[in-house]
Parts: sequence; structure tokens; C-alpha cells
Amino acid sequence: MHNILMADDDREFCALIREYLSGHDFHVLAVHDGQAAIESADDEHAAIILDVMMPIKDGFDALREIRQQGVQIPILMLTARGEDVDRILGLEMGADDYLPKPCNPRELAARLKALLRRGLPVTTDTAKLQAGDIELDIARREAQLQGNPVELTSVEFEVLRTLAESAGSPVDRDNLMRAALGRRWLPTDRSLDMHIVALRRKFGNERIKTLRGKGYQLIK
Amino acid sequence: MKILPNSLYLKLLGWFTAASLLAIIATLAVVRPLWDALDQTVDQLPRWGQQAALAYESGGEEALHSYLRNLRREHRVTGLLFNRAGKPLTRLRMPPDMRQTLLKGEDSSSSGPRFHRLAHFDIHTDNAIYQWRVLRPPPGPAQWRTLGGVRLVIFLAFMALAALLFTTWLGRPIKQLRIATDNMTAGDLGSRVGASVASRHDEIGELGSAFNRMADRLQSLVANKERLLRDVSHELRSPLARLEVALELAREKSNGAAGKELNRIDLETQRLKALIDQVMTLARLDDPEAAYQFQLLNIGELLESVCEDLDMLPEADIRLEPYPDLHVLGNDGLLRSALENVIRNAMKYTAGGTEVGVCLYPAGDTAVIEVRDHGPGVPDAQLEAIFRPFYRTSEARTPETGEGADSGGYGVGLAIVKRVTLAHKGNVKATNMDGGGLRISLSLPLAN
Repeated sequence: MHNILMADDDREFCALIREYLSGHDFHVLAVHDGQAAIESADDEHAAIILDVMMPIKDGFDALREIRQQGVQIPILMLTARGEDVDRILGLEMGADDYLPKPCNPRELAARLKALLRRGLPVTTDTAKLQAGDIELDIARREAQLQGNPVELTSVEFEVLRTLAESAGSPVDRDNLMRAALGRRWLPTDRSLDMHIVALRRKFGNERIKTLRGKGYQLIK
Repeated sequence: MKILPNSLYLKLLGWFTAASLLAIIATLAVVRPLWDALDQTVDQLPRWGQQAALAYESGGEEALHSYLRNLRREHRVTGLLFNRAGKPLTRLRMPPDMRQTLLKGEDSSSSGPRFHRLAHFDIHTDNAIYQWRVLRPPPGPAQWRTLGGVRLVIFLAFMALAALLFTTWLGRPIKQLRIATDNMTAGDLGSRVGASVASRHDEIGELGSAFNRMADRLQSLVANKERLLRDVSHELRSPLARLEVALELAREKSNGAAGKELNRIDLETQRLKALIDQVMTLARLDDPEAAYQFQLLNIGELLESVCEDLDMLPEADIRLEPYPDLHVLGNDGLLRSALENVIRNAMKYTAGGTEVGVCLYPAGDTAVIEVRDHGPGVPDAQLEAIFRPFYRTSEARTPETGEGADSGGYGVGLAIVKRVTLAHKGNVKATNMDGGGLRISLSLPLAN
């Protein structure tokens, strides 16, 4: 049983999700505004589901403050369906995945599982990865740019790791999605783009190239 | 019609009266200077005075009299020679009013004959100084014709000038009204006539303010309608979100007992979701508050990435022609959604087994993107209407042929395309191809 914190002002929706997820090995604690979400967010939970539109503090504010508190558990944002993706891109601030609401609860459960699976300590042969002036410590899930530590969300770390494993050659979007988010890529899904935007902001545009028709490539 | 103190009627009356009066005064005023210019006797007047004085000195009063009588007969010029003290040196038969004028030496134009203009000259001979007073003749019939012609031309010129001023005065506000109306028709609901028209104190000013009031009303009605659509869509999202969860719960608890029905509910839920997405996108495009960031975009690369994404869908294959490097100033997300909607629409309507053709080429200072399907096309009369939200063609399509949320009509996709191209100062049009199928062309201004 994983404890999940869910923040959404629609109480009936929370109750339904709680019932649905309980059948999928999740125990949901629901709060109904942004402030309550910030106060309840701690490492006792395995993940947080944050709705964007909430009273008192909206989901983006809550997300920022939760991260500022040093809570590193995966956070999944429920964005309003039809909301401007560009706006979300612009506000990208460390959520691990985005799901437009209304959403299929199966999809929600699948994404939560993917996030949690990825959160587990990974055992790999290589403890460290190097690509140009970027260094990744796989075991400790830490990244450094020119020797300086860079704060990454766990999804960003996975995207970067996948890119770094084949630095110098492109990785297509489907493989990136599977590695980082645990699901296949669909043309209309732009959550990968959001993580790429975030990574470029942190490491510089020139280090992650877009290759038309091929995907993304980390330069060596 | 009620005639107001400042009504157009009074203004028109004033204009025409003033213009006619001015023209008439001008033609009257021009007669004398014109006659001076036309009369060839003017230059001769001093010479004749000299000759009259010489005649007097050589032959006395009798010679002077016969010279003057001759002058009057031959040139219709009536002159009298006076000595220095102003005493006439001979008598001559002439109408009394003329004599009066000559003796007094003043041209009283009110009483005197209009064209017998008096001229004075001092004549110096070797022996004495004389005064030569002479009355010039009126114009003859031939000269009157010339004069009349010139006066007509002057009159017409005056009226033409007045008409020109009048047209400017009346035509400019009407032109402004027309431009405002055209802009409104083209979709700019914020279009208004300026204060220079609306604040006029006449019927045109009233028309201007009436237009502005109508535009205000129209704009708020349209805004209300769109806000309602957006709010309804927005409110629909919460129940829909709950519905989807409840549906999954039902699926799990029923253990496949009503799988077919539940799948159907699922499908309709997905259609509702897609529809709400599109309505929200459209509403955001109409929101004047929403500011979009524009940047330099390689439109070909964008097009290719959209085609690649959509090519994975099962409906139809996309063939993108080789394209040149073209850049436009635009918003990546908006243009992506416009291109996606155009191509999706073509994929939906193209006949089974046919390709959707996409090409990009420069035309003047625009980049043109053409998307062509091999479907049934659209009746010519409806080629513009398909860009309206939720427009339905006359032969309504059945849900079997339509796919997704907007089965049976064009939904909101093409309306989004239109708003996006307009927001990029471009335009979009649909044409039926000769060999069947619809072609939609988007043109966007090239950067620089």
C-alpha cells in the first residue's frame, strides 16, 4: 500500500479517485486546497497528486512551496484540460508528470506506478555517467554541471540519464518516454517536451539538441 | 423627418446657397477686369487724345469736333478734350448721362452705364496741357459671347470646387463609416468610427454614434456568447472527470458484464473531452487578455514535426512535399495546433486509401501552406462557412463517417485554424479541387 497525497477542491472527485486507487494498492489522503497540500506534503507519502485549480493557493504555488520545503517525492500535476500548454511550459517548475483533467483513472494509476517504480533505487553497472561537462551519479541520483550540483526532479534525472547513456547520438521520443515516464509516447502528449525545456533551462540550450524526426540528443 | 437646427438639410441648403452666391458674385466681379483685358481700344486711348489735341491746335474747335465725331463713329469711343482749367473745348452730341459723366469727370457706376468706363489722361503738347476724358464703348455681340463663355467657365469652376469641398466634408465621414463596417464584417468587433464622425452635429454624426452603439452591443453580445460557451465547457469538466472515474469503477466492479456498453460510454466521454479541449482553445484565442509570445519560427520544421506526429495516426497517410527554408514570426503552440487541426480535418475526410498532400512554398512576402485531401469536398457556397465554430454542412454527416467529438460537422478545428492565422496576420481559405477533394491554404507573412 502506497500512501498518496491528493490535493483537489472537488471533494466528490477525490472520493471517487480514492475508491478507485484503493483497488490499485494506493491509499489516498485527500486535501482540498493548496495551503493544506503544502502543510500535508512530507516524505511519508509516496507521491502527490496536485490539481492546478484550487482555492487559497493554486497547484503551481503549492508545487513551488512543496519543493522549497525540500520534499523530493514524485509530484503529478492535474492540469486543466484545454489550458494553454505554453503557459504550463512557462511555469515548468519541477513536477514529475502532467496529466490533463478530466483524465482516465487507469492512466492516472499507471502513471503513479511508473513514477513510484522509478523512484526505487536503481542498480546499474555504471555508478557514474559523463557527457561533456555534465556528470551524473546514478546511485545517488545527482547531477553536476562543470562540477556544480544541479537540482533535478526524478523525471528530469531519468530523461537526462537516458540521453547521457547514448550521448552523441539521438534518442527517439518514444524511448525517452518509456525510460523516464514509463509509458509510450503519443503525438499529442507534450509532457516530454516540458521536461526537455526544463533540462535546457538548467544545462543550457546548446547541450540538448532536437534532431528532426529522430528525437533528442545530448552532445558529448 | 424632423428637421433639427443643425440638420443635414440646413447644412446642405447653406452649402448650395453659399456656393451659388459666391459663383454668381465671382462672375459679376470678373466682367470689368475681363473687359479691360479683352478691349483692344484701351491702348489707343492716349494716342487718340494726343491726336485730338493736335487737331485742336491746328484747326481749332471745328477740327477737334470733326475728329471727335469721327472717333465716336469709327471706334465707338466718346471723348472730350478739356483745357487745363477743365473747360470743354468743343461740344459733341451724345446721350445726357454720358455727357454728365464726362463733364463731372467721375464714373458713378451706380447711375452711369456699366461699360462706358471713364478714363483720364493729361495730354502734353508743345504749347499747352489738356485734359482728355474718354468713355470706352460697351462690348459688342461677339465680345459678349467671349465674355459669356469665360463667365460660364468661371461659374462651373466655382461650383466644381464647391462640390469637391462638399464631397470631402460629406464623403470622408461616410468613408470612415464604410471602413468601420468592413472591418466589422471581417471580424474585428472592436472596430468603431472615430470621434471626428461620431461627434458631428448632424445626421451623419448620429449615424456614426448609432453605429458605435450597435458595435458595442454586438461586441458584448458576442463576448457574452463566447464567455457562456467557455464557462459551460469549463463547468462540464468537473462532472466529466467524476464520470470517468465512476466509469472505471463500474468496469472493475461489473467484471466485464457490461463491457460493450461501458466501452461505448467511454468513447462518448472521450468525444466530450476532445470537444471541450477545442472549445477551450477557441475561447482562449478569442480572449483579448491572453498575450501570446511570438518568436522567429522555421515554419517548415514545424510543419514537418506536426506531419510526423500525425502520420502515426491510423486514418490516412500524409505526404509532405520537399519545402524551402521559410521563417515566420509566430507562436509555436498556436501554429502547431492550427496545422494539426487542418491536417486532421483532411485526414478525416479524405477517401480511404488516399493520401493527404501537404506542401509549403513562398508566394510574395508570405509563406503558403497547402493541405489537400481526396474527399468529397464542400459545396462552393459553404467554403467560407466551414471556418465557423460548429458549422454543419447541408448534407449532415452521420456519426459513422465522422470521427471524434465533431462528427456531423466541422466542429471547432477549422475555426481554431482561422483564429490562429488571423492572429498571425495571415489568412486561410478553402477551395474545391478540380479532381475532387478540398484544399485549404494558410498564408502567413514571412518574417522581415
